[in-house]
Amino acid sequence: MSEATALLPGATSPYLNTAGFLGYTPGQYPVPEKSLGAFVTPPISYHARKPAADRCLVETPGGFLLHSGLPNEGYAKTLRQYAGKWAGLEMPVWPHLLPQSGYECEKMVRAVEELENIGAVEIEFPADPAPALVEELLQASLGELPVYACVPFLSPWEQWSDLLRLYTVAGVVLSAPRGCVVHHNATVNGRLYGPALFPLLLEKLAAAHELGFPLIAGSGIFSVLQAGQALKAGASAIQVDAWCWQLSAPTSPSRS
Amino acid sequence: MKTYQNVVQGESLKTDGLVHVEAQPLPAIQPGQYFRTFAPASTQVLPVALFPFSRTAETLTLCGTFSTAVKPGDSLLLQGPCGRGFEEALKARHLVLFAAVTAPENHLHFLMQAALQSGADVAWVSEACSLALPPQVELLKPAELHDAIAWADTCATVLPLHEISTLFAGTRLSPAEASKFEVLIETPLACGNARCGVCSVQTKKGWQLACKDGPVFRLGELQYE
Repeated sequence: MSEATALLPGATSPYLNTAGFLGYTPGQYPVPEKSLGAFVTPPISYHARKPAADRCLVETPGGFLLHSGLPNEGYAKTLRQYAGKWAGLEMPVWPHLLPQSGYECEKMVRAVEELENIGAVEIEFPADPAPALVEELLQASLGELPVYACVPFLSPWEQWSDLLRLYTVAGVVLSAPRGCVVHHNATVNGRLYGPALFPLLLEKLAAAHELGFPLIAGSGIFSVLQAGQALKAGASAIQVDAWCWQLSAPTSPSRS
Repeated sequence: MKTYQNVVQGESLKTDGLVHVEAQPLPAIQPGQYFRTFAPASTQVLPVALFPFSRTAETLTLCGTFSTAVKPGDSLLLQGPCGRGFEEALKARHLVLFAAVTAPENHLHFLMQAALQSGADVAWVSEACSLALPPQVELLKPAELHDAIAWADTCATVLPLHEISTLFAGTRLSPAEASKFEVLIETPLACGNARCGVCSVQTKKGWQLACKDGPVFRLGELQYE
């Protein structure tokens, strides 16, 4: 597997996890013989969020759709609860933030800047944001930490390239695309995951490479081969999502 | 939490959702707990929660929705046992098992076996039971549910998460009757310890996760409309 020649700011290797797939403290990382270069936290919002009333996980050919509502206790309580554990981790931590406004973004970024062992922040934009909101969020996120913009890789995020350059983002996370399924006779929107997405991701990597941003391939990677192909296609790092949930064979008849 | 590598035995009875695996060296598992299972050589993307159906010295039979074709000889990884299983139901001397139409009755079979082994009297309430029940289990119709609950120490059922409130609307359970129930909530249990939130259950103590704090809850603990 070819390695990225330059490490991303805030990471110690190009192998990361996708927000929400390793819990609030990292469990086992599925990529053989690789350790996490940074631990990305589950999504953290300004206010507490409840689980979505129509939450579901629906299998689709080659993957699944996940709709949870991104429940969390809100940034203040989450940071109080986990800051100590994050400070003691071997790898740097990237809080994944869900601001809805520049005010929320600034408050949360300033709060994580005060914590120990924080390598960078990921900012996830709301669905279909107006350019003014994108600029507001990017401006509010400027500070001491590298900022990664997290975008669904099939969204027209390239339209914000000038803004992303202006506000000197450290990179772009090409994350799970949005989609919908019919579940219990109702249409449910959510994020799509699974190896079926990998060919689409590779195509986007090749096209986006010309924009000049460090890119993190954060969708569709379920094998060592795919991880290597993504890095070779120009990704500066990879993020692994539902591969983290798969079980791996024990090395002894039973293992903890 | 331990992961075991096991081999699927005999015919995969996919039509009735049962998978047989070698019993050794699997640990004890309580009714209502589950194993996260995964067939690494298959096209399976997500682990599947499988519940115990029955056990002999040689074979553990698991039940659940297994979306990938499992063939005899396939290697299956099992992690667990996970979650909180039935507790009050295992102590009951008079146990009612209520198999609702929209939920898998297989999930109650292991609890039935455990209760009978401990000498409890068991009544199975169902509109149409497809399982071969032992002769000592009394089979009742849903119209007899209220009388059965009055007789029981504890009742147990399986329900999809979104149908908890339907249980009350359809059967007109009183709060006193509801307090006797333990319910195994059927919901996706895919992520292990990642706290994805999709199995969130609203309880009187706040939001809990069925994968970790359940999937069995006291009906009286739950908040529902």
